[in-house]
Amino acid sequence: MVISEADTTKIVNSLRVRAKELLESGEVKVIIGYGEGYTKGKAVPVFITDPGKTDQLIFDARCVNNLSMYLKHAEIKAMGKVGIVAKGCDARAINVLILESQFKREDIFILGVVCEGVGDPIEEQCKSCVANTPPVYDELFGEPIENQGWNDETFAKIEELESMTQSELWNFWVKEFDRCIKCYACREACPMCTCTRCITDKNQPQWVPTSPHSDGNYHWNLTRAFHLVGRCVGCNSCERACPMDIPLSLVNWKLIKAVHDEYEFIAGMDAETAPPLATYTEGEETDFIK
Amino acid sequence: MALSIHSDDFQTLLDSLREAGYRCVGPARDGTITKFKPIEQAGDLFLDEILTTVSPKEFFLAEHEAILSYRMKGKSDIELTTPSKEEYAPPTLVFGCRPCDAAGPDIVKSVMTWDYDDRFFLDRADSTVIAAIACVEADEACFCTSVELAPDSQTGADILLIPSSNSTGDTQEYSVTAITEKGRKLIDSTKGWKDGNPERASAIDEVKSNLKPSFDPAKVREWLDNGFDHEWWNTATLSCIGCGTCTYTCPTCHCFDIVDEGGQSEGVRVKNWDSCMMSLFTLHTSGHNPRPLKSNRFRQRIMHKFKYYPDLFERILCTGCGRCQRHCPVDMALKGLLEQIGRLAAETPDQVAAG
Repeated sequence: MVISEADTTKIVNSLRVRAKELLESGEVKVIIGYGEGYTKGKAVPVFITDPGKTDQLIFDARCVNNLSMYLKHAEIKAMGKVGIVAKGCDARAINVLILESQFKREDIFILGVVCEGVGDPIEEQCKSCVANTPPVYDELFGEPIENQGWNDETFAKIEELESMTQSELWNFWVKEFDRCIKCYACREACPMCTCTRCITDKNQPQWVPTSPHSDGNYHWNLTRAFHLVGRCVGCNSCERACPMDIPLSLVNWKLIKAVHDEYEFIAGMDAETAPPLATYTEGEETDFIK
Repeated sequence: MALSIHSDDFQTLLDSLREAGYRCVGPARDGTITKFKPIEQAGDLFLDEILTTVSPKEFFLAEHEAILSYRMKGKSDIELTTPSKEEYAPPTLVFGCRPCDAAGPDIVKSVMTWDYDDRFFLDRADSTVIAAIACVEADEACFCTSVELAPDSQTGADILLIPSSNSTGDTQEYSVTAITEKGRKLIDSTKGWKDGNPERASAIDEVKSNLKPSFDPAKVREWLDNGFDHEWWNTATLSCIGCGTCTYTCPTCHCFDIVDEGGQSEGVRVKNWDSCMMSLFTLHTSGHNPRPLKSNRFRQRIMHKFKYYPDLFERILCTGCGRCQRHCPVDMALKGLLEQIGRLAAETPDQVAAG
């Protein structure tokens, strides 16, 4: 299924018109969407409050960022009701955030956009997208298309890692994490990192070593991973943001696979299904707690 | 006597550096990124890129280093050890950085000798020779000419290599200028250098003339003098995600954090890079944070680079390398923001602080 150029133009035009109406009527105070970047060819997040400026909005395969991460920022919350342009992965993140009581469904207006994948060439995770059509929206832009869905290739790299011996795996990750400079771009780009004070920023006591040495880097990256189990929507924002090119998606997709294998759960497909790792059902096995 | 060096002789240089007691660090691949790494084989040098992912800053201001170790020998007997200069500041040649990266430590030196002599930085600066290579290429993130530097500037470099028009495929000849006494000494004690004055590659001057200054730092500074409370900060910084990528890849950002790691019997006091873009940077013990918003933090970064530092030291705390733009996850280009400030300054010549 291919969205034609004409359809893309139609999507962008109707997005601009609707965004204008929403701002003019006062239904939303700000539209978070994509616009042209300062660097030629890059699309960037834009924040439009003036109804006369919705022509800035664009939508195409360059619109890689998961905009839902801005919903946690105090500056955005202070602006009033937000209208947000959301691809499938953004919309899934929004579902998780609603489920986790970060905000209420009615606090935002979701301009859902049908997305065939982002990046040039198309990013890996998009080839296995389970939400080409956003699972939640107030208004949908573009005709719904069939999801790519998971396929034989989706977990190929994870299975490769799983076939390594423990020491091979250890060495693989030590080498990758060694490049970490603790800039926390992975954390800040992630819609799921909603803690107002991250565990690494808690220093009385200092739970996670802040140093970018092997120990500190391993601590941080594993802590990040554990906090994403059953929550990560696989949007790849963290890996894309990492200036040191650490393959964080390999961590994320291992978690996505584990959660699906154990609980048949995929995060963010709706805002009702109880997240397996934040739920306790009476009678469930607890003998692993010693 | 005019000097030159040919890339075919880099191995000779590297071998003689080792003999003369220098380690050489240069641009090299590390997975899919590039950074400055110890180089022993000329083939490991990667000089084709406009700029490495990270600057060679870490060889002056270490990303992470122990500055003190302690060990309890008895109940009240503490053994304290500080690293020796020989350990943390071995004689080093930083080879093949760009002029913007060479300028970094020179600019930062002003603050490192201001109210307190940072001996870790100063000892390293003292034992390090910088051999920069002029640029034959620039990209749209580059803006050295806007901050009083150039693709062939000598600021901070001890030796400057100018690519010549004599290049064939993978090989390249350079004309060599010793700028400082330190640079001269290194050349005299090592091999690979030759007499000769090869013709300067025209690409350098093309880059220079194409890279027109895009803002006037003096005008920017004037606007910043009164612009602290301007509404612009709030809107211009909305897309910032609040990570430290810009500051950690920057050749002039020099803030660090000191942390004690260890327990009751032994441990180390370490110094790590820190970033003003993170809210924890200014969080007080009381819970009060004077810079709670990202606009406050972004303003601090621009103010520090283009007003406070120039106010104190008459130097801009930026070399125009453009890494902050190249690596920003949301394309928050410092250059673009400074252009905006330049336009604001032009619109309101007698600007009075708004708000």
